Amino acid sequence: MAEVTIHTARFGDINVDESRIITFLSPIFGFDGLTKYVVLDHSDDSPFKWLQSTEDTDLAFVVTNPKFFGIPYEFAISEEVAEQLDIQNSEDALVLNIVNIPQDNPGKMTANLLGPVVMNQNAMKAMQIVLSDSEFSTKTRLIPDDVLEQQPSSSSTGLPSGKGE
Amino acid sequence: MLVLTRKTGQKLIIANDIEVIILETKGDAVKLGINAPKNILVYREEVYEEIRKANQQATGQLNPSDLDEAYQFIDRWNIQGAPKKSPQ
Repeated sequence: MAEVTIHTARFGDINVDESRIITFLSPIFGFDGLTKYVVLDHSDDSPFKWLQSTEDTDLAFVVTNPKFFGIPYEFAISEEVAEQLDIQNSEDALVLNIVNIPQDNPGKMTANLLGPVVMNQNAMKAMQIVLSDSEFSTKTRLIPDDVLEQQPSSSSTGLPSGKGE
Repeated sequence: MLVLTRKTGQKLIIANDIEVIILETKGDAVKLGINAPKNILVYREEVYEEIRKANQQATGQLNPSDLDEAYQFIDRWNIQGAPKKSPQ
């Protein structure tokens, strides 16, 4: 497999193996015509990843999985979606939820649990689906208010970036 | 816009392979049945719109440094279930 260079606004030019490029069978809602993305790591232990368009340098989503935040999240993939993505068993499937982080208040970040991106990580095919008739929301808080109101566990000052190296 | 009048039990055919059936009408609600190939996905418009808007809000002008800041939040508050940056 050949390496390809992807131009990005946030990360500059990056080289990725061609096999890592994900093809969306239908575009992410609202982003018509864009079907090629690549998943980029944030940092080693981070619960976040970037979903970067290879066709639009500016377009990148932050994604996560709610389980990293202790939020129960399970749903059945419909027969139609499984067939289109060629998902034979649950190990093929990877679920990514798009995260919205308010720039002035990152603690109030939310994830879209109603419209997850479902991916076949072997075939590198994906699509955003709608969990109709579910209780999930497009704006599920990842850190509940009562947790935010508590004093930070590793700093008694409450000041940001107070951790030692 | 094409406007057609149908009665309960009558159908529409769209592009040869999509069938829309009027199942029931009750007050201002109409119950529809749709038979379509599996690659044709059908959404309720308001749900589709909600997800489209959420997607667009999520893109914004978020920079890698903003995500680092969000991650520090999680690390600092020791969110249950979140991976730890530096294990004790």
